[in-house]
Amino acid sequence: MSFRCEMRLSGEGGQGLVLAGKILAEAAAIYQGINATQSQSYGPEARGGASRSEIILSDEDIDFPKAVRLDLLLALTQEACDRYVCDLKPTGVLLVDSDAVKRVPEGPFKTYRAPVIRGARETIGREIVANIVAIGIITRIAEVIEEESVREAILTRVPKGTEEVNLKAFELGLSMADRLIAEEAGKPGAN
Amino acid sequence: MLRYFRRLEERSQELGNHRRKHVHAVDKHGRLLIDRLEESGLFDRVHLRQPAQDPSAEMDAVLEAGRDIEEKLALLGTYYSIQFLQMNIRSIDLLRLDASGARDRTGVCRDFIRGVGDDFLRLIGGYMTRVLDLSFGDEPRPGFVVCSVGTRLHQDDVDLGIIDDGSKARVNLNRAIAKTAREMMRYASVPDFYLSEHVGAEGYTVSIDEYRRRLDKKILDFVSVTEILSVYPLVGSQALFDRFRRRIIGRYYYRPRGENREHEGYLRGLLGEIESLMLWPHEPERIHPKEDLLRLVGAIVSAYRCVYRIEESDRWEAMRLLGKKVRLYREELASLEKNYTYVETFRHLYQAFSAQKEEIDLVDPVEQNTLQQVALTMGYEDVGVIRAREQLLVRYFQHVRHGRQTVRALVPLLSEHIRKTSVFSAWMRPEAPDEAPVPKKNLPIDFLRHVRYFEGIKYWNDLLEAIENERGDLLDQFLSDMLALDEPHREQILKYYAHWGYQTFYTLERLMVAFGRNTRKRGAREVFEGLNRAFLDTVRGTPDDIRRLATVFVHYPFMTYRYLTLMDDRSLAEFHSKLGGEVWDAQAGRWRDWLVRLCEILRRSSRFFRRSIDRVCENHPEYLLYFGDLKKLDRIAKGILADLLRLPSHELQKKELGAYYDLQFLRIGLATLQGMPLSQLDAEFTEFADYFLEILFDVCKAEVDAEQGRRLLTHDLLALFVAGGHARERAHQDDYDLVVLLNSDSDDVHEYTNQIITRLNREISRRGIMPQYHLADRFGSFVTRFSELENFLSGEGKTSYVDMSQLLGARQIVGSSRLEAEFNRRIIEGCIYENKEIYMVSVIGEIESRRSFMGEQCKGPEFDIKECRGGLRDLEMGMLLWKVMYRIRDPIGGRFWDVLAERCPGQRWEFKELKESYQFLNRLRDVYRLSVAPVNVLNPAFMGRPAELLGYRSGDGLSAGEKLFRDHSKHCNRVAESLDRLIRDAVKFEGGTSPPEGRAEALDR
Repeated sequence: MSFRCEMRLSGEGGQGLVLAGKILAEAAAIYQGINATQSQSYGPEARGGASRSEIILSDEDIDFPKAVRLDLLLALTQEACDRYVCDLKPTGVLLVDSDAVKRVPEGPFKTYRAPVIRGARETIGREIVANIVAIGIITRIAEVIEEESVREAILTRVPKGTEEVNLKAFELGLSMADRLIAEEAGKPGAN
Repeated sequence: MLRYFRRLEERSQELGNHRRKHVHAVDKHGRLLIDRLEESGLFDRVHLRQPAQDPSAEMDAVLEAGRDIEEKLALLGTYYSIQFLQMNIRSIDLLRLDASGARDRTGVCRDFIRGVGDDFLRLIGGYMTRVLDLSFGDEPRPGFVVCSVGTRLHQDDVDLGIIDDGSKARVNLNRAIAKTAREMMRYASVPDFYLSEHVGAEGYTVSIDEYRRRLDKKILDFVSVTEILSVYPLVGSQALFDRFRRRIIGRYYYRPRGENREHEGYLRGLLGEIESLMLWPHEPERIHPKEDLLRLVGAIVSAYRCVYRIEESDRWEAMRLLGKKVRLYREELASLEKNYTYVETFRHLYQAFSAQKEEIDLVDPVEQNTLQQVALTMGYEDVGVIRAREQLLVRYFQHVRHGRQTVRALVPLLSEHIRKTSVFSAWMRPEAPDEAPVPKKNLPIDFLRHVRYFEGIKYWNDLLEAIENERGDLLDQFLSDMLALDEPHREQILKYYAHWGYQTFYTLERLMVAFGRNTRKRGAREVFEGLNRAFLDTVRGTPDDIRRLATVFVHYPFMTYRYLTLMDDRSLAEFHSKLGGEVWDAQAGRWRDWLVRLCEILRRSSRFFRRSIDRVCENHPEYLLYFGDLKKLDRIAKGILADLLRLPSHELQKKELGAYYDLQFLRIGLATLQGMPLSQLDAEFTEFADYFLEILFDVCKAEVDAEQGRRLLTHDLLALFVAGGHARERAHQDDYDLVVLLNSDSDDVHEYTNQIITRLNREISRRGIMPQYHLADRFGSFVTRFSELENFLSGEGKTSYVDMSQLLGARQIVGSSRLEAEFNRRIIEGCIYENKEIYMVSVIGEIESRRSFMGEQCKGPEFDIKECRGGLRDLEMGMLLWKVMYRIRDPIGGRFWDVLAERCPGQRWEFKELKESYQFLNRLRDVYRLSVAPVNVLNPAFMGRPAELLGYRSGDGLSAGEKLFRDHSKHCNRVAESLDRLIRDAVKFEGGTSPPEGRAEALDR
């Protein structure tokens, strides 16, 4: 059976979501041979303000790189969450920044709340790597791309001299995801 | 050969991390590539150690060497990666060579950057052609052309626009593109298909007919149009490309006798973009070459290309052709090209050495190293302690600043072009007498119909100017058409306007101000309120909303201020509350704080205080940004004062002196609202108010001297005194009580000095302060002679205790100390102290009669803070009484209570309490003036704002205002009781207060 995974990373301009999208797409395409496309907000909408980046992964050819039925939505702002949650599949995953998204929409999808930006700021000391923290969480939660591929892709995309801090941010994301998964498993009704 | 790959890998270390993808490809398939080339005898036809002259031909050889499709794709990708690394290393080596010691650095940069663009296009074009070919296989192919769009320099991702002929075989094309995209993601640059996505295509490709149908409905956003205008065919049919150019691109060029709707929409989009980029918040410690300059240049060049029909899509070539065609701006275009070349080279090198990112953090040591690498490559060297990167940044900022100025200078031509060619131009043009009026249905609705096509456009300055034009009838018609709609319909239309304006806060705020400030026009207020309601409902207070509102404020502070002052209290509070959320950008955060401060001040301030803001900020809107930095306002004010004497005319000096006064008045008002201690407020207010009078007198005198061609020395002859609140050194006085005394009986000198004071009077009035001349009312001239005053006070005329009080409280501002001594001897001692019993009886009588009168008057909840029992007038009267009684020369005011406490140690606690009450009441009066209204009759219902400013909080069943009112009553009662007791004791001590026989009648109460 063919596999296809659509993800959208959304938030504000300046949060590095386009870069995050490229990293995930390249990790899949270059290091795992999965078909991948990546697209991003464009035109006047990309001039500051809202920002989104989309990744489609598939083992078949991808007809068109536009995500329409999301398997995963990352929302780093309330606005982005409100705007895009309607595109999430009932079986999808909603990952929100728990500080920025206070009104988390209800739905059949699975929801994870994590202090992505705060984690980057307080644990790593640089808010700018919040996108890499998010990549870490997504990698562990989505289980589509291997960690090592993502590490390689991160190293390929981040500026020289910042490799270490970015890898630390990635590890932080992975450990945050572990906690989220453990919490989810501990919920009543969880298998 | 493998050793050579290792060397290539080592050599590429100086490139950014993006090289790793290509190194990975070489590691993975490099061995296989060599093997296959050797096996097939094609090794000599391929360059692996150096950049290829003809990469396309070598790619064919690589494909020939591969055994199956998968292998061919892998080998081709590996060859691409090798060439990509070679190309970049070589171009940088060449730049280093050319830039070292080059006199024309821009020329070197130009050769480099254009060469890099051409090389890259050749490489990626050749690669794509072959991958696409393999991906098609034997499937039927439609007519198609794959175009590169956007900049040719960007190696990180390649923006592609794919046009097909709309035939059934496009399915195969889409499939082939999908495969090609996959390969590009693995080995080359990531392809982006924004254009197809944006036109609403179902696949990667779009036909010309699909473009046409889409464009007939709605304008494309300006970014997509800019991409379309920059298309360059990489692979496929030149004929199809030419057809695309004629039928789609041609729509955006100006047609003197044709339909220009798309052209206009695009230009409006670009001008909106230029305005936005000019206003964008810039972090001081970061640079962003794209937003700093490159986008601006892209926008202005595209706009000019469309106006002048320059089809050349290469930006350098387009600028060269424009320079030839637009003679008026030839120099500007040439210099802009230099700025563009420099910044583009800078950006390219930074990305080559670091990563494909746009924003550069100047304080980050890693980024600083990269910048040093860029600087050395561009030919800069460390000089002493000055690092090469510092020289680079200096030049970068110069290019950016100059480039932005040039772009600004190139905008008016475009604005004028739009004004003349717009579909709205008939609305804006004044009708000629013999011209039939342009039929307009309902203007607001008609406009919405038009703008539906222009969705996303931010530039509407031409229409806004026409609406603001007081001689035009556009505003009247707009308002009357709006009022002609029934209420639900009008509400709906206003919502559409708010929705439209949500994309451009600047335009909407400006439009609302145009409505709101024309209060005399029928419907203006109503439309303002309706539109503002709809706008406030639309704005959600997201980080982006906040940043945009703050950005509009910082660049158009007075317009924003106007808009805020047009709102009622509730709307202003709502607007204020929307600014409370998170903001991402630190600079935007600072700007937001400034806007929040203004909102806070406006929410606390009276119309009286807003008038003082109007007076200052209409000419200096930037001061609105400094409301949180009162020291800065003080420095500016002192600078104005310092500059005064350098000004060439008395008129200018008076004007600037007025500006000094207004600014200081505003500053003290802001300080009051921000809780500056009363004693400091009074001292600072008195200082600048005294300065103002002193200097104004000198300027007016010099003006009279110049006109009369003579100079009379008046230092020992003329004394200017302030009386009343100014004399008591109290802040926030909105009138000046002036006493002008002349120690000469000469009619000539009297006439001369009167002329000076006449001018002085006029200038003071211009500040919105009413000068009062109590004595002038009696003597019929601004200037009163000492002799006249002596005669008057010695009983020949009717004397009033008010005259005496004014003189007793007077403080000299202009005149010599000899004159002051003369005044004290002849007037204060000779005429008042000599008759102190009469004066004291009058004061006591006045206190009693006023209390009884005010008791009758004050039936309602309002109270007069000055005249009520125990109010400020009682305190002032008390001070005058003691001043006369003890012959104290100190001015009455806050410090006078300390003098009294010293003089009467037995009552020092009571004087201390009176001082506290004096300060409390004055503070309350000041705050009420600034936050509610400049009146003495205070209304308990409006005590909320002053209470908040004075630090009261609600609790114990009372609101903050009620608590303040309670404290006010306590103070007044305490003052009344203390004063009564102290005055009674003092009078007893003096031995009675009966005035001498016959003198009492002379007192005119």
